[in-house]
Amino acid sequence: MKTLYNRTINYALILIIMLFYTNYSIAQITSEPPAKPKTNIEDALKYARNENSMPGKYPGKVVQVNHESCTSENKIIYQAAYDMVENGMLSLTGEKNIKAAWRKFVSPKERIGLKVNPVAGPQLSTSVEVTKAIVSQLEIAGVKRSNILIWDRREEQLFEAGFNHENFPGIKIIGTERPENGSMYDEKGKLHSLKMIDTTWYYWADCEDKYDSATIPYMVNEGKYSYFTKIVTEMVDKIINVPILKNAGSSVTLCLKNLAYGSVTNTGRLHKQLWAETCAEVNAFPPLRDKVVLNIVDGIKGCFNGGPGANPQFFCEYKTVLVGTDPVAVDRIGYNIVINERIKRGVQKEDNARGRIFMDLAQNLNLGIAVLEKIKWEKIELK
Amino acid sequence: MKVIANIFFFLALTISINAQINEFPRLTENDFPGMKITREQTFDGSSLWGYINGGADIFLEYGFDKLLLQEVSINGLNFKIEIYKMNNPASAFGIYSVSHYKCEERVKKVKYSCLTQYQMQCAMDCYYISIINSNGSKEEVEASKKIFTQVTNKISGNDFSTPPLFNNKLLSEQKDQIKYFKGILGVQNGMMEWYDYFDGLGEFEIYLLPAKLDAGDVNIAQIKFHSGSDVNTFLKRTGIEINPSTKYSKSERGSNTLLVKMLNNNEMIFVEGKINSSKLEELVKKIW
Repeated sequence: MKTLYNRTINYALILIIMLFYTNYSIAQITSEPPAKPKTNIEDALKYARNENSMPGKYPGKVVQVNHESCTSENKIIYQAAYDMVENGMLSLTGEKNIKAAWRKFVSPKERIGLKVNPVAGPQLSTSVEVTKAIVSQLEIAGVKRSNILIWDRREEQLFEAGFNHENFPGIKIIGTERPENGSMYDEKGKLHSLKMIDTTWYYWADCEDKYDSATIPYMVNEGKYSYFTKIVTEMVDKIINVPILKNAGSSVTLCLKNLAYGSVTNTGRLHKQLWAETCAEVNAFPPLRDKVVLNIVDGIKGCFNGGPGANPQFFCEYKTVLVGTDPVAVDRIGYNIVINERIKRGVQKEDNARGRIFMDLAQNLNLGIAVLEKIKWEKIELK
Repeated sequence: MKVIANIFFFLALTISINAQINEFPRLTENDFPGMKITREQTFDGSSLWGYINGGADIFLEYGFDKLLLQEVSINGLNFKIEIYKMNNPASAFGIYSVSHYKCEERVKKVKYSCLTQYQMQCAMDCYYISIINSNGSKEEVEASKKIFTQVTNKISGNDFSTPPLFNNKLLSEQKDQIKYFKGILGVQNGMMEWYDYFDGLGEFEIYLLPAKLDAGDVNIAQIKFHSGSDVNTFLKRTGIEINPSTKYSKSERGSNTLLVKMLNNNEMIFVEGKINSSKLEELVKKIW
């Protein structure tokens, strides 16, 4: 009996060792990177699409408006920014007046959220000028200032980048991560930001991270759930996405990234393993997929390297604005512009498909068109 | 009792904050007449996320200890001074190596320094320092230089040295282009073309010089892996089979020739260039 027991143990050990080496050898032979953590993207796909769902009214269409004189002495000229947005809107919609163009996307009673990107400080954020131009044209379309909201994750960064009540009187400026009375916490030690998140909408991913006390106010929660902000689920009816044209390593952080990482909590854990997946998949959830009606990329000033942070030697003036309803197509054109600049400046030798993975994933989720040849790319030159 | 405890807590907190700030070559208001420090804050560990969001990842990959952020105003001109204390001089050099571009001026006294209109950067001892001005005006550039001198004068540690390979005459003139990577984000930022070679591998260190030589453009690297299996994976991905009877092992990938010389089990010289195989070997012999 004892011999049988010993034999069983021995066989089991041999089996374990064989299995270990088999797996080890397979890993060595394939040399594949480790598998990606699972996510709840299937949940997003259960919701029926509607007429506003991405890629919106003009799938695969992108208007690029260039303006040679849109800056002077390192400052953006407001009228030039206004003209660029206006021309982009007219060309996108085929309308002859700006009110009609905007009315294709918004109506006077709707609450409109402008999603800007202020994370890299005043020198490398969505510009006040382009945002003011959008606000002004929304007003022409009949939207009251009290129905317009400028938002991002961090309220403090919004103010630092110039999105304040002085520049935007009568418009609500709000972030998910926000202090009240100078503190991120209430008297019970709870984050004020917890009131800003909607726990019924979440992006789940099988990976997590621990945050220290200085970081948690900017992540809001730990664990495997990233909750959507109430700004997108409750506070706005339509969203106009206004990112800045900049690189993120050898990829870009434009429409999809601005929306995805700006709308959910607990993003730190997602950066390393699921960057591309997060950029695509978070946008497939109805609060974004069905509310984002327009994307206007502020490419007047941007950067070609050093992004997403602000590294002044890599700043440049692209002097362009991109307009489209299809966030994937707009990203694809923006990507093209940034990568060409990187190649021209010698920081990258050639395009690498890796930088486009997030757009391919988004295309697979029917959020837009990622194939350059299939995009209707219109260029307008202003002087 | 409660009052004593509160005083004790306050003192401990003050001492701790001062101790953190004193670890840095920080500016004080005595350094410049009329200078005001408008913001001073330290960040450590993952709290860097709160300051630079996704930009923190690469600092953490290189090995980040603490950051002192100072925003100062001198006669109405505003400057942002970031002093990153990295885990060691190599890490500070690494961050500097992937952060500078087309330097307009270098400071002789500071081995790794890069001055441009809007930003001055350097790596000294364990510190990576970046000084940013607002508008790039003449006055701001001049004031930035003074701040730069003042801060760097407060550092007395050892300068970092790159591997002797790069001291060769053929390469030494281009030494200021050397990049040091300590993980995949470094590769992504500094040599995206090599991303597929290193994706998913464990720890590794790469010193890379993209060199422009008479024979052509070549990427010359000294690479150290921390495991034998990563060495094998890398070689497999580059299509190189090590032949123990020859000094150099090579492969061809499109118009590129790749060459490896093993230094030991986990360390190698890796050269890649659009030159034919025999010319590349000849070149490597001259360098090595």
